[in-house]
Amino acid sequence: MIKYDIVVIGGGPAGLSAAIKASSNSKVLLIEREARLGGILKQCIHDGFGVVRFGEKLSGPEYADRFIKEIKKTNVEISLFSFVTEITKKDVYEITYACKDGMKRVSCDKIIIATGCRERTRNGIFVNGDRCSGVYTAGSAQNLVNILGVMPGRKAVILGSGDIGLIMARRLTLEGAQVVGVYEAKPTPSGLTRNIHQCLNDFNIPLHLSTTVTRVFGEQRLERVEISQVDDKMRPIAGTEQIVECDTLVLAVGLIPENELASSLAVKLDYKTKGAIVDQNCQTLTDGIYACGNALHVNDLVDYVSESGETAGESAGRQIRERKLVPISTNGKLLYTVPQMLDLNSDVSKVIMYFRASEDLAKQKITVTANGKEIFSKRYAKLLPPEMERIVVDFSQADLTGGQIVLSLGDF
Amino acid sequence: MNYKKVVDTVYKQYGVKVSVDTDDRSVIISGECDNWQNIVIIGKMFVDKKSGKHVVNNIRLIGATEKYPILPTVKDKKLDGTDWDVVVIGGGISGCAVARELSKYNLKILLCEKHSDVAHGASGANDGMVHAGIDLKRKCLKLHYVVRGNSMYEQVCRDLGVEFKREGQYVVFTSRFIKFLGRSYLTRAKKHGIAGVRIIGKKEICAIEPRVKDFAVGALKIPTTGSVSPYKLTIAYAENAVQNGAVVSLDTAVLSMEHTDDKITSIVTNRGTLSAKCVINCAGVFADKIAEMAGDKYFSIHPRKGIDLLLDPKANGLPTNAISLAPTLKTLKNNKNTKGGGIVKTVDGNILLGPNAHEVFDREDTSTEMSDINEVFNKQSPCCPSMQRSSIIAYFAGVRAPSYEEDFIIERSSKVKNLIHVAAIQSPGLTAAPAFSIDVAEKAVELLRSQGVTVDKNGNFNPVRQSPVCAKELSNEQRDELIKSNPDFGKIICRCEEVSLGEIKQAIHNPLGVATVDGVKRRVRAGMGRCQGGFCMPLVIKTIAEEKNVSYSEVLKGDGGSYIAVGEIKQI
Repeated sequence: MIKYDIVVIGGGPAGLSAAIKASSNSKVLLIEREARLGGILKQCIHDGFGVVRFGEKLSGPEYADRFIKEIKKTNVEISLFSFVTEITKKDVYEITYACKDGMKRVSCDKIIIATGCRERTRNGIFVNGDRCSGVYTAGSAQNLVNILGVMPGRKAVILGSGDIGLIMARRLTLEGAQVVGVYEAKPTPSGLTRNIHQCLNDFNIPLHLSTTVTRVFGEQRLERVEISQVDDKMRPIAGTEQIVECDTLVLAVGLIPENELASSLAVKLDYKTKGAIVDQNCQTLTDGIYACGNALHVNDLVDYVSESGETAGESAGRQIRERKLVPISTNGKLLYTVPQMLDLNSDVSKVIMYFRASEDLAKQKITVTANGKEIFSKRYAKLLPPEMERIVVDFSQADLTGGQIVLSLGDF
Repeated sequence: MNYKKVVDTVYKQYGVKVSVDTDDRSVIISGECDNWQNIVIIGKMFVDKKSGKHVVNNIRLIGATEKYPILPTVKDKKLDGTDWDVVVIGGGISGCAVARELSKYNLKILLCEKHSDVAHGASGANDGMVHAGIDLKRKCLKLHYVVRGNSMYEQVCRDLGVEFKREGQYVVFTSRFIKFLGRSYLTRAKKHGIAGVRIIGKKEICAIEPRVKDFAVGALKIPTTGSVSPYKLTIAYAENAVQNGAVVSLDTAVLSMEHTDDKITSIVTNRGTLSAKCVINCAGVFADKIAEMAGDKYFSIHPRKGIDLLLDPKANGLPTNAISLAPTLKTLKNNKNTKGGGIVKTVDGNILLGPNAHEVFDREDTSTEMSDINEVFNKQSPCCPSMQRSSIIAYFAGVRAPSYEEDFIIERSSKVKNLIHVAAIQSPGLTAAPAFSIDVAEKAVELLRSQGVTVDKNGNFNPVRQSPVCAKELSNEQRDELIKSNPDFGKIICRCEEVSLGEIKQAIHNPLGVATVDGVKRRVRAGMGRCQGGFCMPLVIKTIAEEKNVSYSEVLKGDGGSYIAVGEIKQI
């Protein structure tokens, strides 16, 4: 059995970054499920990737290509079309995976989970009615158009204003389909403001807020959908039903971190992010298991996915040490924060923290306190749940003996 | 039965004027009413167990036009002018099992199924429970076949290469009083010949299923209850029939029949007109319509829809056994038409909740409603309060095909001499099918012989159907060998259910020739997991297109018209 220092699972942007970083001082194996590296970026042919990191707007494949070129210069071993079937822990981790050459078994000291996320489905949001064809998740529709080169339909309704939904509204329009409208159950859009402008407004695609699809109709292929307005608890309001003719329904109703492998290792998950609970080094509460990218929490920019991959890769390359973990608690209208833990036995001087507001807010101040003493604050003119925020906090001067670290959001 | 009295009661209670006609087999009621539920209730009021007459309910629903059955889009002459010994109408569990049992004889057998795959109706949309028969109170055909059928499952599934598990079922008692009443089950089990049924104490049930510890005082253990994939078994029966010489013609609907007073002379389908020496009606929710086509309508089918919920096997808080709560006086009063459903563990390890039961006008209404989902979940959650609604990954509706007498109709027509009915096969039809299909085949042979046809045994009959390879079920060593012999088995396409390209290709080249996305899904589970095909669907389309040498836009989800792509980009 070949022994590696680190095995990275997932060859998308997070896994690529993690493997590249880790390879500087470790023997690394990267296991990728698909035939090619790049993860979901392969089908994201629109631009806008890399603005933060490279200061340019790249397409998804271009962004991935920079890392693929980079990883080829390292000594990372890459196993494509390889699917992890089992991980067990003895003295070291033992990983079994299937690939075209047979069943392989390797061992390693550390594992970096970079398995990305999956889309919520039609059933996950209880779209009822007939069982016809013509209902797609946005990612599937994107795959059909951008990878297979076929059109899912001619007249589409998009449910959910998440970024992929907005991107697909524009993409289908550019390919000649009619997008009747984007419907969002929440009172505010779920996607980035820039995507609302570039994908909807620029193409005169209407966005209907507080409205959802309540039923689909079609004997074989989708023929029409019923839309309804919803109340403030997102329950359909009787009497507001309207029928919209369409042959395609694209669902962009949220992403869920993929954590099957993490769960099989009993890695503790955060019910808010649906990813692992990690410290500032992306190490989970299970020693030797790291998580990064969208498997950790759903990011809106790939730049931050790469960043967390690097954090995971770099720290996994370091010597194993006893950790001293203290929880980071939140206060105020925060949806979540990552990391959820701080390891006092490693570097605390440049802790990258990500957070999201739980609702649209104006004039907010984020404050980080340790033992009641403020050590960081930043003001925001406005905060939106779809737009993740990033701060870098220096805890090195703080008194951490009491272990009370609080991230709080409030008016200023 | 004093029909006049019933007519008066109906008028008093529902304001419907019913006229009654009887013959030696049926009581035929007609009239009109604006409420379908009432029409069904009225139909039931005319059930007369003493006379054994069937109810033919011709009461018209005011304002509704009966939806014409969904018909295949294909029209050709493939079967035109052909002559068969036996034509089986309907590719559900009944039709497929009957075709397979008939293939033990040297006969020209044709099975017509109007959908693009077998098990498209109720046989594909039920909970897969192989019933013990404990809930059937009185002697009836259902009871006769359910007990026999249940005992045949090991053998049938071994022969047909279908997974079967006999893990038993627990009916949980929530009070000492109900536990006391539960003793009546023991008497019944003894009477029906259901082995091993016993009452277990609180300690034992809580050790088996800890999630009931807060409210269980004991349980009824029914060890002979099993589980099977209902569509996989139906497919296996059909495939084995085909391997033994039967012909399964999909996308083939019976549109009408020509008949004399006592004989069907020809069958008109969308693929031509054919003739048969023996016709077997296994048409499920349309069984009374087929009977009518043959001039032999002596029973009515009233469609009853049920919804099942499928939970994510990877979710937390789920029970690990098939469990249900014993009925209390209150729940008994509210549910007369269903055994009340329960929590079922499918053979694939999923937890399934359901089903409910609603009378519906439309025989093919497999749509789902939020109210159904709430009803089923709320009904079953008291049995395992730790279950989360968010664990639901899929839900589906099936339409049962009961008669008003609520018993199977398995007999030769007393009027049309070349017709056999296998009708009103509702739950536990799946359990019963292995048993009644043998009897039906014998009835058909007898029918043919009585017409002077020589019927010999099929000397080449092979009862064994190889089950398709399931790579993840193999040991690592066996799987390694398999991949080395064909690398496609190492390429995982469906990540949630761990299905390889090799398995998908094998499913595409099945003996029935079904090459649809749903066909692949049912055969090898690609797309059945938590992402519901979000990731693998495009790859399955690509594989079907490549294997069948068709364009992507020709690949269908299921039946004709259910296309997934409309053409290449830049073309619309």
